[in-house]
Amino acid sequence: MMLNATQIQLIDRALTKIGICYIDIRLELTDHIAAALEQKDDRFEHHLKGYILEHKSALKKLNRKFIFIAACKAYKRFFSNMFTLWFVVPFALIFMAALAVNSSYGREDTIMALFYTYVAVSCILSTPIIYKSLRNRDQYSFGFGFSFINLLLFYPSIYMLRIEESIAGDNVMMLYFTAIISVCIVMHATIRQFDKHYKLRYNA
Amino acid sequence: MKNSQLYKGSLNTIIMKLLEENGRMYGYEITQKVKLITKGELNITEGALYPALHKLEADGLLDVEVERVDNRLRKYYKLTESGEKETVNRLAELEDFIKNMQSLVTPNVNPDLQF
Repeated sequence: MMLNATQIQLIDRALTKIGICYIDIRLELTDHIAAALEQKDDRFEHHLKGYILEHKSALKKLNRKFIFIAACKAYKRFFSNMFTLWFVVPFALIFMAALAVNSSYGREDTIMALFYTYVAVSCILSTPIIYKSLRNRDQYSFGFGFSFINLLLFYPSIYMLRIEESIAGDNVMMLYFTAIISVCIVMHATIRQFDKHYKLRYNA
Repeated sequence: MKNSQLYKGSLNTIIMKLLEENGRMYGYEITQKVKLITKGELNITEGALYPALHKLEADGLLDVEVERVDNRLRKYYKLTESGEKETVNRLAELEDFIKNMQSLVTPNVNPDLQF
């Protein structure tokens, strides 16, 4: 039995329903299930329900494994990007700008300006990722996990502001905020690289 | 897949060997090919196969091609250049392992005559 487009969509929806959200994984499993169901008789819905019921927990477990592998791959790329121009150029530019602001407006204003820049960059770059994941749209692979990097950086940033007075050198605070803004930019660049890679793969 | 650490440990090598022989394959095809070769003895489940494929891809040993087939997208896997080299190494390692195991399990049989 050859499956039609509507039946393929039904398989895709069934997988989405059990929590398999990443396109990179879902398309592959859709093909696997479709190929398995094509070996059976014409009672498509009956066999699909049976397959999902029988394999539900295995599919969920498989999804967790996929997410783990995708996360490792994404973080590996993220850390390798930290040694490329994606990190070095923003770092150099922001630090030079911070030095210029510091010489004109003083330490306190510079640090606050850097902190608000970090909050703004972080919000602007993370919002589309969180929106996509909440709406289940165009999630090719592990992207949502990156938004946690910003959240993880938020607490030490607040802490740095609290202990600011005890830190003697101006450069330490400026270097810290410059580094975390650059990390946010690298995070965004990595997500863009992955999106581009998967879009090329699936929409070409 | 048979619940045996022996099979699980060799899964990547099995996949790479099949891809070396067949050029490019998709997930379901690999499961069916293994079933056919082993006459139904070894049944690779999707839970074991796909994470292994994704891991090999992440390690740069496999390349992916996507094609539209029968109203759906199909992901084909093929060995990269480094994947081909790695397959040779892993097969040699597996053959040594089988030889050694054969010597240990049936010491009276000359292992060289088995290959």
